[in-house]
Amino acid sequence: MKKKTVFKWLNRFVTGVLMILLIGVAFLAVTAKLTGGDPQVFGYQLKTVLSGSMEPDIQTGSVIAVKPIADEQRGDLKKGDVITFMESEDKLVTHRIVDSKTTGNGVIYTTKGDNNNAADSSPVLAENVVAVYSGVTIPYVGYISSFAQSPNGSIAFLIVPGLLMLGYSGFTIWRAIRELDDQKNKPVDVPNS
Amino acid sequence: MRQSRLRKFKTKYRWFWFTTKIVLIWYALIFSTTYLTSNTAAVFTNSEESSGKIEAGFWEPEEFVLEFTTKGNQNIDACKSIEIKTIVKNNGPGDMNENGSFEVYYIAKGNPTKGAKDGVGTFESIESGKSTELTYKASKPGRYAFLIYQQSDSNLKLWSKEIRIDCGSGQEPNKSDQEVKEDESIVTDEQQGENTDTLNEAVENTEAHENAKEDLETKEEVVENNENNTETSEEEIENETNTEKEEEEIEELEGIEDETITEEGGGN
Repeated sequence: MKKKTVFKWLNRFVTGVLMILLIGVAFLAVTAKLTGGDPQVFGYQLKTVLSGSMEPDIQTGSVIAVKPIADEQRGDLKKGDVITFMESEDKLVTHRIVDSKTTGNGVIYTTKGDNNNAADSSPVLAENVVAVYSGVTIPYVGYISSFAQSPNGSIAFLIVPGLLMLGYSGFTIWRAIRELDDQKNKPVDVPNS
Repeated sequence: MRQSRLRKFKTKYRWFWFTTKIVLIWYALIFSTTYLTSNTAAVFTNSEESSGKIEAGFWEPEEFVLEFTTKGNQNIDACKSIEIKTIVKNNGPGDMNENGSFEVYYIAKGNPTKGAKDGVGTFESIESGKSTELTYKASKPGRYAFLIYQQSDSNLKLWSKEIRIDCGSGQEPNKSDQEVKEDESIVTDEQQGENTDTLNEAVENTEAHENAKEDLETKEEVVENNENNTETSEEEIENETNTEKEEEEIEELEGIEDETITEEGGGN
């Protein structure tokens, strides 16, 4: 009897979590589609960090929340801010500002990884700054996320549980059919129930 | 009836539904993590500044090539501090732009290039073809060698021949300081005397060479003048004979010049 109540509460909890997750994912997907940009969570973007150039502040394999920055604020960053910037067309880098200079073309930042012994070779134009690090990191999730995106990760995280689920449901259906057959074989039992 | 059957169904397959929910949660989690972070290429660069040197080639911007011209090992018999010397020549096409520096390595026995640095010194820049003398005050008996670098910032080492200072042949190595000092003063006086003597000799020699050269040059000029004359007045046969004579003289003089040159070569 006690076992049954524990299961009941567990079941309710799981159902609640599932509901929240489904609603949340749907909400995120819809907002991302509507805004058109990268998916955001309450105004923050999540970035996976796969190198240790900013250790110990940002650990390798963590996910960090960065706040996208408006165009007009890009020149107002201070020394010591951690920024995410476009290093090249398709490469985002998050490093700390160690120096800022105002030139005729705008503001130029010199950046450096906390764990690096030298500043980055090429300075960053203010217009290439994408976001400012908010200080929130979730350790180890980056490993999971990047693994899930790899082919092996998709197999392990999506296909294998799917197949297991399929097998389990197949087994359940088979059991149900068998029970129905049993019930047919014992028609006397039916009125009693 | 229907309700009870549904309830029965529910309770019977509750584990199935439970697992289904767990799997759905799992999928939702995986989807949200990958979806939210999928568009981020926030891979961090890690640039390391190495302190190594890459030598892409070897240039000689100053185009000087130093060489030790002192042949063979020097053996010096002394028990006190003595000035050791070696001669460095600039065999390159260019002059040295800056003063050079040298190091002196010492080892009690064995190969001094494997020994410890005993001291350093400098020498003035050497013009192309000229040579200079490196001197160093050696304080104890042993094996010494001079080391110079071809370029001030390069690692091209150039070792001199070994200089051995032996304290033998009856001399006592452990003299009292006073005696040593006295000895030193005498030695330095003697050395100075010798030096001045040799210098004087050298000066005399060079002067003699220069005089001879001047003579040659003036005579050559005369010959040239004569040649010009012959060109302008070819009819004058006497002049031709004269020039022939002069040419003979020139040939003789050139022979002399060759001799002087060889002497110079031998002298070096």
